[in-house]
Amino acid sequence: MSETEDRLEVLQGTLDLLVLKTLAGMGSLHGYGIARRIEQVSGDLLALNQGTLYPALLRLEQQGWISSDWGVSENNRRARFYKLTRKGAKRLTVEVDRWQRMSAAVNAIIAEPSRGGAR
Amino acid sequence: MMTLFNRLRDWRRRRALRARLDEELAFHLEELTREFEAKGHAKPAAQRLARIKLGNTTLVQEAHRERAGLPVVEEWWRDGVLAVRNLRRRPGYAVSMIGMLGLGLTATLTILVLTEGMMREALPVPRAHELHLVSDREGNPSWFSRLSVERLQTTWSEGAVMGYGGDTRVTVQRGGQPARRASGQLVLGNAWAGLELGVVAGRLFNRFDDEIGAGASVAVANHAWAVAEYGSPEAAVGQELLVNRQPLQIIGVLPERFRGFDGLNRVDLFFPASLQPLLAINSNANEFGSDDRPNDPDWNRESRVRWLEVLVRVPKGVAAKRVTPAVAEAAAPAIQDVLSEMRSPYEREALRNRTWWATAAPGGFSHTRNAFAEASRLLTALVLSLLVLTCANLSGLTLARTLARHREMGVRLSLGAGRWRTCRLALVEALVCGVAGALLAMVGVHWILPLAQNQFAAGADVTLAPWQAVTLTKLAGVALLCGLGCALIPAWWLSRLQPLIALKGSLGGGQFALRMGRGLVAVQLALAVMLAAVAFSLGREIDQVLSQDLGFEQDTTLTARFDVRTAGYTEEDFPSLYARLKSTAESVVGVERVGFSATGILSNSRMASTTFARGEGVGVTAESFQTEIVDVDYPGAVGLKLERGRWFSETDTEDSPRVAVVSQAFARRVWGTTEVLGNRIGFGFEPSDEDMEIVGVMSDARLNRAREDQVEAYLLPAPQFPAPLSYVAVRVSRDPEAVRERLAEAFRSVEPGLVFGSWQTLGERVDASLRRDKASSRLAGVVAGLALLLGVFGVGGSLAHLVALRQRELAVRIALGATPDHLQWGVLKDGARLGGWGALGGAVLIGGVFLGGWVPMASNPIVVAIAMACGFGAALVGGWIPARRAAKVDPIEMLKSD
Repeated sequence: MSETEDRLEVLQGTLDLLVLKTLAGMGSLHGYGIARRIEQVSGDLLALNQGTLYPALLRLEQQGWISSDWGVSENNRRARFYKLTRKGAKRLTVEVDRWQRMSAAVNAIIAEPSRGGAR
Repeated sequence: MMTLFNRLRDWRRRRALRARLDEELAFHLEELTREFEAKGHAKPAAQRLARIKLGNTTLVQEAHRERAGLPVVEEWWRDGVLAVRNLRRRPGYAVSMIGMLGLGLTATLTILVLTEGMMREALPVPRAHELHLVSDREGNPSWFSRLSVERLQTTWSEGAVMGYGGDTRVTVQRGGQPARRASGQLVLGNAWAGLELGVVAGRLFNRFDDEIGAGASVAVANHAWAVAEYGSPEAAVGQELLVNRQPLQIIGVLPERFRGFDGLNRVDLFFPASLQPLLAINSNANEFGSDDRPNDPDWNRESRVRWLEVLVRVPKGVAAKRVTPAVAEAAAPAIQDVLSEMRSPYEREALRNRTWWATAAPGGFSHTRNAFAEASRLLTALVLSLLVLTCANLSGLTLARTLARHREMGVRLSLGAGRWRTCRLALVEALVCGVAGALLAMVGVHWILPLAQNQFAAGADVTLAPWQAVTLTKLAGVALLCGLGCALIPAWWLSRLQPLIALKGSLGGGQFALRMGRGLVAVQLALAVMLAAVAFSLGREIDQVLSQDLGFEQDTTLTARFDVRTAGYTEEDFPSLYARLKSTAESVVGVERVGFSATGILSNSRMASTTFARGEGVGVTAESFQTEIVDVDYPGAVGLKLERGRWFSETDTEDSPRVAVVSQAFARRVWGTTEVLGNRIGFGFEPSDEDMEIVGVMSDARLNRAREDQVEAYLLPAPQFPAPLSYVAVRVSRDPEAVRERLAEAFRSVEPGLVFGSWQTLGERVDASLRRDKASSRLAGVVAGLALLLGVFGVGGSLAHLVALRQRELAVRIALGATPDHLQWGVLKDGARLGGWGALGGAVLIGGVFLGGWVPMASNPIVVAIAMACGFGAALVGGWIPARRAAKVDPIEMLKSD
């Protein structure tokens, strides 16, 4: 049980960014690999409902941001490998920029000192 | 766009994607299990933890499936399948819905294809939208001399100017084969370049082949004609042939889709305009004659003969009205020349005020097209009425069916089905019927189209293609509208249905819906009454035409057209030729009398001259009147009737005083009376010895069309007015069928170079002249019959539904002592009320149609009364079966079932 305690849910709308970024860093990866990598890089802080990855992967593929093909995993099993397309790389830049502006805006609001308590 | 394309691709391979997901999830689960086992968990615990970490796979699969599919499309598809199942369960309802829609849509598709082929097809040349016809105010082509057209090529610098003569019949002979008729047209040499038309074999003639006085003896052939004559376009090029007895060489073959300058009537051969005198083509012209000099027989050199129609290119961005001053400038010298010799102030005024317009003509100008446009308006109105009627009928049918399913709908709504979803079911069902009806129309059009083409577009050489994207899109649009039209009222009722009330078996707001249903039936009846009035009017008019004396003998006069000039005969040959033909015909058993005339009766040809009336009390001083030149036997051969005076006789010779026989209409128009014997008419402004004395007044005859107003015309004797007589009339004493072939054979044997058109009795010419009117009347009759039948079904369906809903009430009334006759009369009264409303509505519609001027003859009160009676009768017939059913309600059975 301790595995899921204090972990953060992936924010709605950020899964695309996480998948694109992971693929940009790792090249070709299968679904399990992507989920594992996200958790590892986040220091196991992000709790990802790993099944939800697959509809997201299909959506990204339909948008032309990633492509997929069958390959063989390290355990010699047939697996579907996903990789970033050129269009996906451009999209990643947009998504990263958007995220940075969003998080900066949220941080700015949080950082502002409180001016008074509730009456 | 790419996403949509990928989604469509994934939708097509959705099963493979599902299998792929299953495999990926299985792999993922295995890897997670392995991961947990590596952390020290036992296998069952590792598997459990892996499943937890992967999440709810059912939800994942559902989300994936949604993404891999097209949920909206699938939902509509499911509704479509459900609708098909529902329809299959009620075959009677389905057949009537689809059958009626199919019928309406077949008629619609037929009209769409006909109109598309006849009206909208552009000439197969680059930028056909630039083509404009130089026309009069009404859009009819204006004629010009060659000199004027050549000047226009200078004054109109914005685009090409193309001149061509009217299409005409020519006599063609190949090698030793017998002479045959073909259609030919004179064209200015630079017209092809102006059209930017290509060639499939050889070359087209150009301005160097068309030099006045030195035209090359060449011809360009139509593709279909070349293939029929020589086997292929290539084989036709270089061939020699005799056209009007003159040797010509075919130098090129036009593209397959180019039929001629009017886009509809096929022209077989085209010649340089400079060959006009050589080929003796002297028809389709407007000649101005004067005393100062005779006209040049070579029309190419004569500014007083106007014979060329003109198409100009008006490039995009240039105003078409700029053509007018350019034409005026080009025609000015010719007009000045004519004005200088014109004595009549009226004619001078008319000529001075003459102006021209540029009418958009991407498909060229065609009289056939104009005539079709008139018929197509009526056809379109009939078909639209039929469609509205069908939709009203089907809407009533669908409403009745939906009302009958109110419990089922109540259950659906109670179980949580959305209101939109419930309405959508009714819509989808109607749309499925619309699609099936459209498919039926696509099959049906193959049978109907040739029939319609034969009746309404006879003579036009068009290939009608039902499978054009534009036509099919329009059909789909109409089918969709019909489907929606049928389902709107039921869907609206469903959107207001209260589930609890529906479950109780009550109709709730259904009473209003029922009233609407009855309103629809009344509308149907009103439309049926209007259509019946139109059909009766058209039929009555044709009957009137046929029952009237057309002014000539229809059954025992055989007639045919021929052209002496194109067969190579000259003016000197005419007397001996006609004498030979006459004696040949008279030698055939059964022939009583043989006469010749210049243009003939119902021959699609006429001649007109500006005529001046002399003397006191003249109502009309000068006007263009129809003229006919006849030999002495012609009036007797065709059976024209004399009212006063005498016909021409052998004493009316070249040297005797000139005489004329006028029609009653002519006499009335010019002098206001038919007492005109001894009055004089002439061609010049000033009276002269050349004027004609009126020696006879004949009964009015329909010389040009079976349906026309009285013709103001006069006859002139051939010996005094030498002209080629191109129409022969043979009066026979026995069945014309027995004489027809022998007569044709006799003429063929004596004059093999003279080509005769088809031999027809005047009755057959009347039939041909009325063909389109008869077809319209027949179609209107069929549509009106269908409309009345639909009205019967509409009333029947509406009242039957009402009787079904009121079964319990009727049973109680019988139990309380009402007689079956009383109940039957009650239902019939309902039907009569509907019939009354329908008849009144019909009268209003007829009034609207009359005031709108669409079908003026529908104003006849007897016709309106008969049509209203038909509508009322249809309502009573429709109400009969439900009334019988109401009378047969058994109260005991009803109580038992309760």
